[in-house]
Amino acid sequence: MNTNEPTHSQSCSRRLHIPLCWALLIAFDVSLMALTYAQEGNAGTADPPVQSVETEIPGPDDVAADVSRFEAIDVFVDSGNQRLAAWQLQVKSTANDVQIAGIEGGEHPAFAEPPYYDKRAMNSNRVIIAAFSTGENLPSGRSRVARIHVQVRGSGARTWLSELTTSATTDGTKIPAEISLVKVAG
Amino acid sequence: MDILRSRISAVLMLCVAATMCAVQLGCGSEQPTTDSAPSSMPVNSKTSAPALDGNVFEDALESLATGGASARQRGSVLTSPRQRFPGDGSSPRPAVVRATFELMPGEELWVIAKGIDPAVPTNEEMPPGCGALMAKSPDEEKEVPVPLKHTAVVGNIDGYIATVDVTQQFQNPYNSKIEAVYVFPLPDNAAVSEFVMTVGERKIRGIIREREEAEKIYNDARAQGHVASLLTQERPNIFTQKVANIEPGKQIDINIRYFSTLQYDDGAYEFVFPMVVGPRYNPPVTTDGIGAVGRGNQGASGQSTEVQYLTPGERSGHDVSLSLNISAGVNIESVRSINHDVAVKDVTGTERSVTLSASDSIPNKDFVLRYRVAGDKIKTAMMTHKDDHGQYFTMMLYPPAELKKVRRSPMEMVFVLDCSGSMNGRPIDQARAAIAHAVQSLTPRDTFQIINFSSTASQLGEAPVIATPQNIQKGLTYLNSLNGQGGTEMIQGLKAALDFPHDEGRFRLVSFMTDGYIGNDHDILNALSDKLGDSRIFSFGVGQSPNRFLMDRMALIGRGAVAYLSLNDDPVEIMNRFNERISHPAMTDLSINWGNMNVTDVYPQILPDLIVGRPVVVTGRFTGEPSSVKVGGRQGMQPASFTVAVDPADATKEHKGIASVWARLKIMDLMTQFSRTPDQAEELRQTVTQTALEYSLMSTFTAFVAVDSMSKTEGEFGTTVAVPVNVPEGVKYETTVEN
Repeated sequence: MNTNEPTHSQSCSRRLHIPLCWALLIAFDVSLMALTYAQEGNAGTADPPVQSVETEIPGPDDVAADVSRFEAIDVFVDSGNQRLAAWQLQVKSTANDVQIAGIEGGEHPAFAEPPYYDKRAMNSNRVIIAAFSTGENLPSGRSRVARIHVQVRGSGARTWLSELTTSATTDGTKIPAEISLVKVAG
Repeated sequence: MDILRSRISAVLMLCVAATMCAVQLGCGSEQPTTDSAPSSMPVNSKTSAPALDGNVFEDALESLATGGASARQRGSVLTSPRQRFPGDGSSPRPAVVRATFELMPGEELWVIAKGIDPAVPTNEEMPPGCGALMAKSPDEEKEVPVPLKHTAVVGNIDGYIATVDVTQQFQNPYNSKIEAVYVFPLPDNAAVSEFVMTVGERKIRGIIREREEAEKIYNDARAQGHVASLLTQERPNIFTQKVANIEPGKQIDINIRYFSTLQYDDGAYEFVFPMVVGPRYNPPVTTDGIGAVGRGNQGASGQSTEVQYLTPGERSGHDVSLSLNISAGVNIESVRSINHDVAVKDVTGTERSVTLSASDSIPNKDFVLRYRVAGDKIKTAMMTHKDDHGQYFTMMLYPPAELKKVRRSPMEMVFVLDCSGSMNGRPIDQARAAIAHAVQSLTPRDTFQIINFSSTASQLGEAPVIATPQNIQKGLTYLNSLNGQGGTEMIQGLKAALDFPHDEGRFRLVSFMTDGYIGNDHDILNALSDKLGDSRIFSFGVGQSPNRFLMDRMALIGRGAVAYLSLNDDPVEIMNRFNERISHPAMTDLSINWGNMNVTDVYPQILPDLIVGRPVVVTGRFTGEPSSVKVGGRQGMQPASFTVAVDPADATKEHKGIASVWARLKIMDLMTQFSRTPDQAEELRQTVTQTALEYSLMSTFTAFVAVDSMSKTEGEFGTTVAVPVNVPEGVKYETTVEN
């Protein structure tokens, strides 16, 4: 893949002028070639980098700290033109005065059932949820995959972090997708 | 004198009228008073005395009842004992009780009624709107509107592990919103691991939380008008479901999923789904028991948990459906439902589909299904499961067949009969018949004693007597003299059965015959542990809906076995099985060589004796590869052993329930320690909570909560309405329920 390999090696050899350097540089170039090849060859199945998306959900002002309210947060996954068959994600509030109080399914029939949550990861303000569908009718583009019901205490906005750790097609091929959170109006 | 008598009569009648008027106001008033202070309505005869004709207050009270203000003064009092008016006036009016009286000119009478604001939650005596009461003729059962319409049960049995989905359909039959509260039973070994609330088309998965935390979330949501639900555990087999803010005509479904293991008993598996909590007796001074009160008498028992019961003339529209898919893994020879009509469909030789008949859908007795499998082909086998938490196994240990060839030693049989009010009638008849058969099966090598308890305990004689024909006859006569009445001071029965010197030459076996309707289960179990000594306990749960948690635990602690004696069982057949068991020694001093498996956290922690016809389920965690294990022990004085292999199909089958079943057993074991070691209570509480949260399981200290933040109803949370239930079939309301 590296078409400039001879030139690169020659350049080095001219600079160092010792036989051992030839050997080392050849080994280095071979390793680089192998690594690059491996990355290109696995491009279709490698995990997309997990990115944490920060979302600010507004809240009312002038509310006493011990007064609570219940809100719903919609979780969207945009899988572009790929059909989404499986996903796993984490949603977490940076504040400690938030309690998760229920998990609802999504809008598309494939993910209408309420997703399961990771029991051990469940915390008052953090949840890992996942779902998969074996059906043929699967969503593509931007689709609400879950709705999280939360209890929030006090006034002001809360910051939520969301991470889409897995998104895949029916054959298990991992696909790039984007996650977003939206507070449900009302 | 006559005038004075008539005045006293008038005052008395007015008191009755005022009380009933208050009831009516609470149901039908469109113009409620603003607080709960007494409101009054003067009827001044000064201005209307000339018009008196003996029917002064009829319209006045009627007007009060319907929220109106006009009052034509005539002299009759309307009362409506414990009946409620429809709020919209469209339903038939209840029967009235008419009383007449006279007022003298110049006298003034006041009708005093406690005003009730329908907007303020009241107790169940005042169901909101009351619009659904259907009056029937005296001979007919009166249908009472309840906020639970239907319970649907779908079970799948794979081997001896059952996965059961229970859907409770709550609905509001009244004309203002309500909070429904339902106290219901589940099997005591049920590992409740899923909870989903359905609001319209939307399903919301509940979250397992520490109980106080879950209760706080629920109460906050309820106060803010959100539809919310909360599931708490009061006893290992008694749960409370609350659903807040159900609007008139709306339905909220709650789905609960649990795993449980089946009992195997003399060649047959037994699947049980309890349908009603029997009325419990709570010793005086108890406040954390399970109260039993009549419909609408909320709080009358003074107990932290309370079940409301329909009176004998009432019925509710709540019914139950049940279907069961059995995959036994071996050929099924026969299927028998003990208490219900069912339809059984043969799917394959090893599979059956069972459906409860629609004509037998009143939830007033346990659903008990026994299916006999090809006995000789039953093999002890180990099943395993692996997940993120680790690896688990479960295996059923069957007693070796050789045990049947060995005869037992002489016995000291102690029969303890519950003669409390809940046993009155058919239950005690069944229990007496069973004991009579067992007594007549004894030989002169044995001795026996009969003890009965209710509020106190008494017994046949001071000490056990030899089972001669004369003594047996004497015992039968004594047995026939016993009837059910009074409380259930089981502790007295325990003391009488275990607090006397042990006959060293005989094996003492104590047989409890009871429905187990007590609210202080753990007190009894602790006392049993303390007093057991070398005795063995065989517990018999009597009736259609016995307290199976108590019965099972008594047998486990007592290193014996449990059996159930339904009103539809043949007591002779049940006692013959019992006789067969006790006719052979058990395999004792069990120990297990785990081979290549590194095993931890095995439950039960103390392995019980293996009794003929009664296997033991052992569950635990392990690392390494599953392998055969060797079970050792003693048969009589001789060492004995057998091998348990891994189920050949284990690698290809999923056994998701094993982890939940294991965690449930661990929690039950910890809870036993919790009640026995108060000094370690906090530490044990934390361990129970951590285990329950980690495995998403119900426990005393955890609860499921689900909130629909999208649905916000108007106003406060409305009236709390308990779901009244039938007393179990065969149990008398009059002798068990507080009014």
